[in-house]
Amino acid sequence: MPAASFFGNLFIAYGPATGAFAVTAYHSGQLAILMICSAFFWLLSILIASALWYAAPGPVKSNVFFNLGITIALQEAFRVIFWAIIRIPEIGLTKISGVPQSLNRLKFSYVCGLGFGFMSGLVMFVTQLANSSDPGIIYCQSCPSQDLFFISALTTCLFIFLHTTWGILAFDALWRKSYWQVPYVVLSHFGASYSTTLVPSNVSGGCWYALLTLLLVLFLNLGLCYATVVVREKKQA
Amino acid sequence: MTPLLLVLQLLVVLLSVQAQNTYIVGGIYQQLQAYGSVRMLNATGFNGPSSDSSAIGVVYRVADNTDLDAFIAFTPPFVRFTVVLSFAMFTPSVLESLRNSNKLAGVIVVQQLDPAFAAPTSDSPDAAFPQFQHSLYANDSSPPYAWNPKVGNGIMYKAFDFPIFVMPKNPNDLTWQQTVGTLLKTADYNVERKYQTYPLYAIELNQFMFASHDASVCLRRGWCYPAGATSIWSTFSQNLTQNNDRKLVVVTAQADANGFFQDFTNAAATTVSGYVTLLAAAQALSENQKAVAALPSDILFTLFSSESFGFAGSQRFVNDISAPFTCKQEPKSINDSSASCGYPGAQCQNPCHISTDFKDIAFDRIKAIVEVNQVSGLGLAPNVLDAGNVNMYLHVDDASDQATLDLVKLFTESGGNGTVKVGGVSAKGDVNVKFNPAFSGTNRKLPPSSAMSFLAKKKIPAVVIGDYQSSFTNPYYNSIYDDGSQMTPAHYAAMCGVATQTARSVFQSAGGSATDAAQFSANCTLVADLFKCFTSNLTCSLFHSIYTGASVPYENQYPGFFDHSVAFTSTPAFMMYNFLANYTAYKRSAYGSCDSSQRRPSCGSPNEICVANVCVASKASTHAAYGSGIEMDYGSNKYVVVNAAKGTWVQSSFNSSNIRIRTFLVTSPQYQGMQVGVGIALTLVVTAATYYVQKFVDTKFK
Repeated sequence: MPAASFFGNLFIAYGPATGAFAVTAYHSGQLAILMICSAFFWLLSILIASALWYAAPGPVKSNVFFNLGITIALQEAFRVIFWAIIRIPEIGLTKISGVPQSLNRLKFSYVCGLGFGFMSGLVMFVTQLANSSDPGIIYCQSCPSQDLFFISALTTCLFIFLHTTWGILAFDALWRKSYWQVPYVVLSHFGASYSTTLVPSNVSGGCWYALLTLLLVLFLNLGLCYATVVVREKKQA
Repeated sequence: MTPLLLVLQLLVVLLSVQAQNTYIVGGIYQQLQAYGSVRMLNATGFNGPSSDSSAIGVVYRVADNTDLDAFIAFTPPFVRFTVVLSFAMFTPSVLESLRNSNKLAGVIVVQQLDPAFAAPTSDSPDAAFPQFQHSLYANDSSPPYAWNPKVGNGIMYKAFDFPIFVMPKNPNDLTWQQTVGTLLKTADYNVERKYQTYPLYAIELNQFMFASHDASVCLRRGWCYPAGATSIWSTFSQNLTQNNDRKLVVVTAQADANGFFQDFTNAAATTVSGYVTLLAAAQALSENQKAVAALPSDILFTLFSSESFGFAGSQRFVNDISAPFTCKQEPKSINDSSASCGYPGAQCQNPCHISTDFKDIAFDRIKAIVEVNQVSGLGLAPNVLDAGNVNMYLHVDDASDQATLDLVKLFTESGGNGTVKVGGVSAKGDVNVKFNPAFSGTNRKLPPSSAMSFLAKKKIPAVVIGDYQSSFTNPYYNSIYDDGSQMTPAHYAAMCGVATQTARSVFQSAGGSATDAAQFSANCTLVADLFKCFTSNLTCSLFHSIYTGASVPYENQYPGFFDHSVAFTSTPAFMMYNFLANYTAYKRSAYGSCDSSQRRPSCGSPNEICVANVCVASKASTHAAYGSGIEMDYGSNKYVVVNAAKGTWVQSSFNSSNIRIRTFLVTSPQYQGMQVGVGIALTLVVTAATYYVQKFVDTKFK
């Protein structure tokens, strides 16, 4: 039976994102390459975060809240750096793609966000996924009847899409110099990440609150994406 | 660039997986100290638990029949269970019921967990007539007489297709306490949740054994070794030889035992009582070696190993001494060894014999056999013991044979009506050990004994001394509970009485007078000390006075597998040899000092051992003990089965790191099904949603 858990968690964590990739970016080499590059940038951010953690003194090392903050800040910084890099060849890339610049930018920011999400999802969950192919589980501290791997799979799935929407919002802000969206992205990232600390907490039902928070942030992000990108495009049209 | 990037990213992910993995696995799994049972094979098949690699089941506690009924009635779909069983429930019929429930993953037998798992009043994994098929009466038309009827459930000789582990009682061992504590907690946790509210604790049992098929196949493939060890013999007669007409009196006992869980073969009453008594009798006779040397007959002490494996020790010994011996391959140099005879300096390499002194023993001139069987009186009721009356019984094969009856009379009539008074036992008074013929009324013939191996070749007067008349009184024959912890001073007194009477009767049987025989008395303090040292304290001061190399206080009484490259594979056997050699020594001299911490100190001659740093010369020798149905093939250097009808027990080899138990939490099958369902649904819904969103966006941007 452990195999069932493994496949369940695999589908939950990576199935939706893989499906989204398949229908949107799989057919375009340009977008796929862009996604891998952005994934690499997410890795760079986490590399620096872990180097800092490694060098940090003991009390800092064990302070989860502090470390989480540093990591989030670094991820967002690398999102900006990556934007700064891809804007250089952007004109040429738009020409090759043969779609309007506005749509191309949306696609760029979408795959870059997805790349960020995918890589964070992999690093976050792949170990647990591998372990879920073995018979044992860890039960979730805040929801003792739940398998922690299952909750983590759901969190991973949501985080991939959160990163996707943050990518869209952040790049849109940077391209249009509509800077109010950037603090929103950073703050909601903080909010979402800190909410996951409820999962291993002693708060009864904490894992559900965390998932609910992530879901709310995701819907808020989706709404904002629609409002800023799609609605504006309509206006311009 | 991109493939490189991809590879680099994968590498980083893999590294992080590895780093996190140790942490997570440590959090999920708790390793427990595990003891399995070794797979044993003979010419026709195998017994013992399954040797498959791993079995996982939810912990289920079965302490009594109510639990068993509840277990059988409980049928959640797709769930298998690891049953935590009490020893009282460890019977073939219970295991069969568990097995037939079709939801059994494995079994852990707990020796003592809490009051619900109390020790059974009796327990024996052996058969009703242990070793019947290799006994003197195997070909008789009458059915085997049940010597071990009340408790002998024969579970030792059954094969199971699931793993079986044991949690032994060892209150002094902290690891043990933790392990049993953990197991207890997992069982309690699951009981509290009625085995239904997940997550529940499960246990994975892993007990991989290399052996398969039967002894022949396994020996050929090199995955098995013959079950066996070393028999020991000695005599006071320095000039023992075939070239005279002196008769021989054989005094014998069994040197080791068997059990379902071989690691915990304690055999305190089963065999330790016998060999300790024999050693005490030898010591008593050694008090006046002059008188013994003046006897017209020789006295031969034998301690046969691996008797629980088809009387392997005695049959091999009798075979070797009853046929003329020729050595086909002498060692080329003093410390020569070969692939089929690894002991450096073995006196003959083909056939492999560490010592060839056995050729001095004339089988045809054996005039009497006295075997000391179970003589502790363990099964006697406390009030009988308190009254100080212990009855010992003399079992014979042929109660109509006058020579045999004469031998019996030496026990039953000498020394005041066949009674030995052992004083100074306790405040309750003396213990009177009375010797009686077991065959008054009906003769049930011999119980399972080494004497049978002699009698199978030739009719010889033989008596087997036991504390039972019609069936074993020892409630724990070859059981894990036969650990000597129930012994009291009265039990030691009983053994001491037997040792005294054995010494006296043997002296008379060898031609001494009754008056002279009366001078011999066993040392009762020695009996108690030897018994305690052999069963639970191998590092005791008595043992240390002879050999200081023992490091662990406990070793089991299971012979293990036969190894032709060493003389002794266990400390108890080595100590038996040392004591027997010491008591039967014909020369004690300070040739120079020797080192008592060494198994083979340099004393000049192979007949010398080191006792308290002094070299002692004796006739003590060793003799290979493994099933007489197995022989070394000196062409291929492998053991082969040569006679399937004789003892052919072999032991599977295994890697002890493969024998393990770990416990962890699991979710229900329904929960796991839900996970798959959620995963597939999420994937489909999100993929479809993305598809439509993309279409929508594309139209908006046109």
